[in-house]
Amino acid sequence: MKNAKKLLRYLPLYFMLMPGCIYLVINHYIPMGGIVLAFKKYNFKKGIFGSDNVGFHNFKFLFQTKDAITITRNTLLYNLVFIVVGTVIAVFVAILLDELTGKFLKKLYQTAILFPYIISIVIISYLAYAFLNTETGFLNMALLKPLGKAPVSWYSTPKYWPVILTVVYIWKSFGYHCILYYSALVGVDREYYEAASIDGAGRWKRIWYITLPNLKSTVIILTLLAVSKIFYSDFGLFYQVPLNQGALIDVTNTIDTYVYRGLMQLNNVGMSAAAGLYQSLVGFVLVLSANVIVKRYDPDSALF
Amino acid sequence: MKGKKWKKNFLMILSVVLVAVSLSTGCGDGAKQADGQDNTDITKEKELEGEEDRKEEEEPYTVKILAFGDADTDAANAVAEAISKKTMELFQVKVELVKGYTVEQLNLMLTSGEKLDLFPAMPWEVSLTNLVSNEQIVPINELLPEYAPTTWNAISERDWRCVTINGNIYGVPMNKEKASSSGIIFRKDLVEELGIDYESLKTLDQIEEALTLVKEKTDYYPLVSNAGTLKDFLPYDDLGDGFGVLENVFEDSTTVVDWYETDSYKELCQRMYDWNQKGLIMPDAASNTDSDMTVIGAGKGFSTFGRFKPGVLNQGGAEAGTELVLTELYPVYTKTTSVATPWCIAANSEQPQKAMQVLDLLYNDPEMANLFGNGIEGIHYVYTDDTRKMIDYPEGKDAAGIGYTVVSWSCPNQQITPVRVGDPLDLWDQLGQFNDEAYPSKALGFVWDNSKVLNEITACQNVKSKYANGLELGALDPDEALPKFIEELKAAGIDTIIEEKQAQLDAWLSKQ
Repeated sequence: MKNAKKLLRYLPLYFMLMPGCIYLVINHYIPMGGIVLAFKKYNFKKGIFGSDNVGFHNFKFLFQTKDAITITRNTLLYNLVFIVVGTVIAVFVAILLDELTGKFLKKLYQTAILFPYIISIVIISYLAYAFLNTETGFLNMALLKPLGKAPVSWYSTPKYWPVILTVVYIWKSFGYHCILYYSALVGVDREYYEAASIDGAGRWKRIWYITLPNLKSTVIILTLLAVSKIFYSDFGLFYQVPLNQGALIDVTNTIDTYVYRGLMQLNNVGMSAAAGLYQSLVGFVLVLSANVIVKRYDPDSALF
Repeated sequence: MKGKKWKKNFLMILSVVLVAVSLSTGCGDGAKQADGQDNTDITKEKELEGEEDRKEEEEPYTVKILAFGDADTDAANAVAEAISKKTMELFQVKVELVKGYTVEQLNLMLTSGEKLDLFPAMPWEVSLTNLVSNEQIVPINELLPEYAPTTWNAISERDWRCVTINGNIYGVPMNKEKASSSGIIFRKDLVEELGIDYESLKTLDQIEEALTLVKEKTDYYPLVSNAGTLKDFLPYDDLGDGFGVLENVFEDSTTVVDWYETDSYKELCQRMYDWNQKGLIMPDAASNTDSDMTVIGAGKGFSTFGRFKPGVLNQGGAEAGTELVLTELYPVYTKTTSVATPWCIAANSEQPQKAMQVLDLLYNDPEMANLFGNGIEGIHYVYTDDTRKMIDYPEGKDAAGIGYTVVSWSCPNQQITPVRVGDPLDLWDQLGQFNDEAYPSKALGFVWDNSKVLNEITACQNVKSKYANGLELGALDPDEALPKFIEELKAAGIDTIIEEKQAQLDAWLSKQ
């Protein structure tokens, strides 16, 4: 009786929930049926469920060569560096923003650092090209030449690319993360700071004992989300920015670009599905384990 | 307690709904497909029974064609309407024309199940074998004699063989150049200025001298790349995909070898590395995104390798906007992929027989072919004189301004269309002679079925994209990179591919 009443009372709320649920089901749950494609030789006439089963055959190409190690290594290491360096820089700049007092300047900086995030990666790849072109690029012409050093052929020298890609990625994305951290800081009660400065805490002490602890849960949640995507790479960054150069493949090939290159020619739906499933499964395991670790050290910040 | 139970029930209902939804969508597709097939059978029967009576009752079927060349929607619609007039008269069919073919668009249409009837399958963009193994196109051997008798008889048995897979014909080969010679193309003005006797250049050593002269005397890049690649010019038969080739068609060997392990390839890489060290190749050649003709036309480049056909200088010159000359290094030869550039009927086509009829019309009716390839008279082109054998752009307009880009080689049959100003009037005769004179590869007509080694091919493709352009454009030192390349190909399973290919080739040869 009591429960029925409760249900009736909350019914409008459940209805409000409906569109969201329907959206989730249509966009996220129904397509999961496509997972079966990873185990099929997809035939356009027979359809998804009618195609022949081939077991794990589609997964073979991923592990055919030592490429599997290279691409897994690249994907993981790049993302790891991106997470660590990206977080440090974003938190640092967020604190700087928070310490600013001029309102106009604050807005100006916010907009300026967010701007690269909304530029298309294709345009960024050409900005990078303007820096790295062997004949006319900024680095070769304006920096190396006056210093009397020989020009570097950037697009055929793999060893520089881990650094170049990290710089480009951070430049593009730190603004966005920075705004997230900054918005967490805006919510911190100013009275803490007042109380602290009355007690004689300097700027450093206030940052260390008030600002950083308040950022902790945001950092953990964003890092967890990033870890769950650690097996996905920013396709544009790894494909467009190095201009798809063969010579750089050892350091720029990630799972996404590998699959794209291999499947561009073959148009094979089964293999794409297999690679997608492999990525998702590993991502799933990673986010679960990361959550377990967080739960052990700080139960309040865990996702679930 | 109750709340929990309710939650449980809700979850169950949700999962039931989910399963029901996914099942019904699955069934929906099946039902639709079955319907479609039934329809075709019924209409086929209908037509066999009494075509005349039924014609008026039927809703006219629309044949959707995807074609090369950009066009304004209005222009494409106008052309489609003009073609439809004739097709409505003849077979109660309308035509819809989508121009601006890109391989991404084609793949999207084929995979998404979007309506599509006719499209050209270029071997350098999509592999006919893959289209067949994915069942994205339909076999047409049964349709041909009935719905396209003229085309069926017009094309030689040899050419049909090049588009035959597992005993079925899968497309109508375009009537364009079916062979190529190869060599190097130069800017005419520079050749004259520097007094290079280009016709006497017959070896790469002689060409190197000419390129060195250009390097010393001018600011031009002596050799340019084509969008980051070196155009093929060595006379090997790629046997479909380039993994496992016949090294030199003029040597008549039928042994399938790893192209990247051959001496020909090694010499090429060494030569290009040497040229790159000497500054004869444009800098950052592998990351150049412009076509060779664009770089040459922009006044930056002097030469590019390439494959040739009659009229190539006119075509390339128009693209580059400067006069060109060429010198041949290898005579005309032909291989399966030179011939196998077919027009195919998509599996999504609801009435393949109608598509076949339209294709037959485009292949045989000069008026329709001209309409399809060149657009509408007076708007998109004008005849130069009353013989109506040569056309030009309307006065005051050029290729860019007419709104209907002409890509006449992608017509089913360009040889029944008028030639364009600048080409000789007998261009099609020359082309025919060119095709006839071509030296045939021993494997001409052999079509490779890669379905058993798809994993290996995907893996090899990845290795190739890592090394091939860098080596062929001299950016990588072949002493270091080539052995690595070969080794990684082996790890990726190229030997399995070659073994399979050799077995198929031997079986095919024994039947000839």
